[in-house]
Amino acid sequence: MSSTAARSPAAALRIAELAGNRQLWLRIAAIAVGLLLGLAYLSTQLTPGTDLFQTIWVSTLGTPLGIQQWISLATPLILAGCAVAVARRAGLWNIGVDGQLLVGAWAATGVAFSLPSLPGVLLVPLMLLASLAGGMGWALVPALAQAYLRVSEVVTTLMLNFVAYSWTTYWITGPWKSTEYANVALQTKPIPESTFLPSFTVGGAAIGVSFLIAVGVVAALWLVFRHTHFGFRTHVTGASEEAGRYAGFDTRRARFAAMLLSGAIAGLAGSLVEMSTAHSYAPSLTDNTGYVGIVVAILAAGSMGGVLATGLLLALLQAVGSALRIAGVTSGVVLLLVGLLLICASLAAALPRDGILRRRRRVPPPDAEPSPEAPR
Amino acid sequence: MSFDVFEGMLASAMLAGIPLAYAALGELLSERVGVINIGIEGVMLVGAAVGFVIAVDSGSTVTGFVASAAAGGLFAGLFVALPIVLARASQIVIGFAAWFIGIGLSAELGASYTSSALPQRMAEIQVPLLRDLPLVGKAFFEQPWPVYLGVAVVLAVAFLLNRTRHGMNLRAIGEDPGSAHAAGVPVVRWQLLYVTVGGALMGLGGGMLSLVTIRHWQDQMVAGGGWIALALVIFVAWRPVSLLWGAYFFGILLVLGDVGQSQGWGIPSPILDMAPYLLTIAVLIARATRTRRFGGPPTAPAALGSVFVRGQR
Repeated sequence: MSSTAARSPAAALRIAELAGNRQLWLRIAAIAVGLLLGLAYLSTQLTPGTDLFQTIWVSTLGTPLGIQQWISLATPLILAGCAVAVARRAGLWNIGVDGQLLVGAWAATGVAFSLPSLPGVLLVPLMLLASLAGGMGWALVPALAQAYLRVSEVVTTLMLNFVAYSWTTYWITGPWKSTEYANVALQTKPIPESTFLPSFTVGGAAIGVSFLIAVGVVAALWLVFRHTHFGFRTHVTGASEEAGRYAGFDTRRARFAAMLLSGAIAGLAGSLVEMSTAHSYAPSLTDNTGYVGIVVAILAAGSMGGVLATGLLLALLQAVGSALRIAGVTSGVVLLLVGLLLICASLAAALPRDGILRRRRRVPPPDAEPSPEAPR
Repeated sequence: MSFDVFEGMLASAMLAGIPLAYAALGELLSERVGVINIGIEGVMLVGAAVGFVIAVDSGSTVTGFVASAAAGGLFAGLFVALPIVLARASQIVIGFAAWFIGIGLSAELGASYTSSALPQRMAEIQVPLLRDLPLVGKAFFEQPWPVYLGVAVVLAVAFLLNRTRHGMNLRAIGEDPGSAHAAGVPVVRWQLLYVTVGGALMGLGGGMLSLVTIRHWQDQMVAGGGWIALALVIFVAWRPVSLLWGAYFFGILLVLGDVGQSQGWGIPSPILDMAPYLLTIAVLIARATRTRRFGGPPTAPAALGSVFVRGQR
């Protein structure tokens, strides 16, 4: 995919940045087209008598409850988007966010169940730390295999999702089987009430502290990638591994570390969902969060601020999706819609670059400076 | 484990493994013309859902099976081949998109069919005498015909790729599209064609799952099979014939959970269910380690994932 590798770290970053800025408006237009397509599809699928726009308005921005729902859906999506975006910075795909999220929540639950009498002030940070470690641990093998053996992280991270689903099933049907919910073992008993994360009310809508934590993570990552050596190394490695090596960076370690950080953020998403809304350990802690998170990161084109925006946008889509479930669409419809968005966005990124619109573009001579609009 | 159980496991492993062989073969064809289609899972789901729906509605399971191929081909052609080959969109991103759209579309299509039953079972081919062999008789000589069709298609593609001029030209596209183009191979047309044909094979894999192996429709029933197929192609180093035993091997792992549960091995079935996924990872790591240490067998097509623009390079 890369044709002209930039030879210096600064050039590599500059090229990536320019390409990003040029395509911003195009990308926004593509997202709009994708949303319209989705809307057109939805309007053909509804049971008669449902007012699509009314439902969309009421379930999202139109009511305090809608806003509350929207923000609570956005929290894990923003974190999942961050996780994917961090891996992207190093040129990697973490599609195992779902699994890391579940294992992160599992670790947090384990801490909560084994130390239930601890006061919340101690237990909550412990659980958060456990979830970071859990998600990181779940990403360890793919990270090692990718960085040191070049095993495709796409396949390994995804495979571990299925392992994590089974792992969750094992714990909620085995050691943590709940006796409260008769024979339907879909979740464990609740975690101690002292660990429920508080929320504050804005105009009638309860906004969880977890949302603030997610925004904090976005800000922290923005700082890391803008101002730290770690961030710089990772970014250069992702933009052009050759440039990274030339600058003397240990690029394997950079990829390894980015993958671990990515897993840790995904794990954090798990414990936050559990502690703020779900209040027990269950497979439903993820509602395709990892998959939609991939789209969040792709639409944001690797920008951390962008993740915040696209996370909020796709949370709207999820809120609408679940509101329309009563009106005749399935839970899969959200993935269908984000898939359409993704196709539109990737066409928008490709067509003006080297797609049919630019078929006859002249090829620069091999020793020329790479032109700014050329992708790395 | 008793003899009968082992015999039964070998037989059902075939039904679980052959869909992977179909799908992996489709991916292999795609990759041989330089296009990596990571949306296999989505294409399989569409094939599975459409096949099942058509089978129930038309009253013929065979018609459903044919429809699953058509659906897979159409889906991969529209959502993978066109954006990747003509618009040169990112192969990975388009693959994700096809995967998501496949999950969503199949869920929407199959939603009202979750409790439907198939009109009839696929006919079995029974090889006289051989099917009475102990242990392997049932597994290899008394199976529904899509199993044998799968084996035949794999062998046919192997012949096409390795023994014909057409196949050599086809592989040339994946190795060096510029040279193939210079030699007069219609690169873009063949890429479109073989990604679509590959999609039809993935569709058949999905169709076999819903029509022969599991015999009902449920959401996301492929359960990672498409991704295992993707790994399988790497595992067999892009050689079609090896797909057969590779797929059978994964078939055994896929049925392990059920066998363990029915036999009361004492290992909880969710833990056994992890086996195929963990093994996929182990296999990829083992292959990479070996390649690193000894240099490997012929590996990926050299131009896999690259963009071919006529007149450039």
